Amino acid sequence: MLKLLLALSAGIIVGFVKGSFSKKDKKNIQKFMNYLLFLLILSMGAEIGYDKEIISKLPDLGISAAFISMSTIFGSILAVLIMEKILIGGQEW
Amino acid sequence: MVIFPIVALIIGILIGMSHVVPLFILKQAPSTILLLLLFIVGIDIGSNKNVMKEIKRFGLKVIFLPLFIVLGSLAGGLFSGYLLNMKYCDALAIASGFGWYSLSGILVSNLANVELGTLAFLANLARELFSFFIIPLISKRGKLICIAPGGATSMDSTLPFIVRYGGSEIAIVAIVSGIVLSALVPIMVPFFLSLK
Repeated sequence: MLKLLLALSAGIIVGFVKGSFSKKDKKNIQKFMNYLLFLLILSMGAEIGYDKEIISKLPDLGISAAFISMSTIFGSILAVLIMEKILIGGQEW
Repeated sequence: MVIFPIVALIIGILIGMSHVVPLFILKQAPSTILLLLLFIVGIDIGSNKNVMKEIKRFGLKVIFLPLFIVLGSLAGGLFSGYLLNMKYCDALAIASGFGWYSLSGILVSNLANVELGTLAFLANLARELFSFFIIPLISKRGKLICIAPGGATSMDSTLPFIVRYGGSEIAIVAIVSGIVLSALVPIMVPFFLSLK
């Protein structure tokens, strides 16, 4: 947690010192981020796949877990949309 | 754009199941990649001149965001719990994990039973993983809603996705929301389980 905040703060300082990026640089950064996001999901998947206990529980509990998570996700999205309606009359924030 | 997280997840699970990569690398890889990602997210935030403007625009209203995410998660938990024939306090306890699967899994296992704990672990793990697919899908509809799916993870693992698809202007709001929700997990999970 502390490491993550440090990495984030270090990046903010570098970004602030460097100032704005050219369009080309921005595109390259986004591309690099896409690769890293892919790797992040891949590595998390590998950690899950390695764990036999998690995989063995999926036939029993997988559907319920997926259903609960989808409900909480869509409940949250809906709640934020409602909040935007109440606080700022439904415009995009 | 939706297809890439799914492909990554499936390839990852298959690599893990094959046991070709040693465990110490598997355990280290996600956090190392996340560190690098957050460094880049930081650069994105630091170089974005609109960030301060956006923070001023949100002002104190920022505190409403995690509040509404809590309410939405609990409503979703009740809804699924009702359809799955679960006790309402169990469903609310699982929904109060807000995607922090390691903590909510341990809390529920210790305070209730291992089976419910496993369900809490899997449901909150799924919340984190599904967020990776859902954030790119909903980002066209608005920026702020990109913070909702990840719950407590909007300050770490889903933050790069929020910034990549929603923009670095909302990064600080996402971090604040993630911290508030993370702080609520060890309070709300035991609370709902005590209602039994």
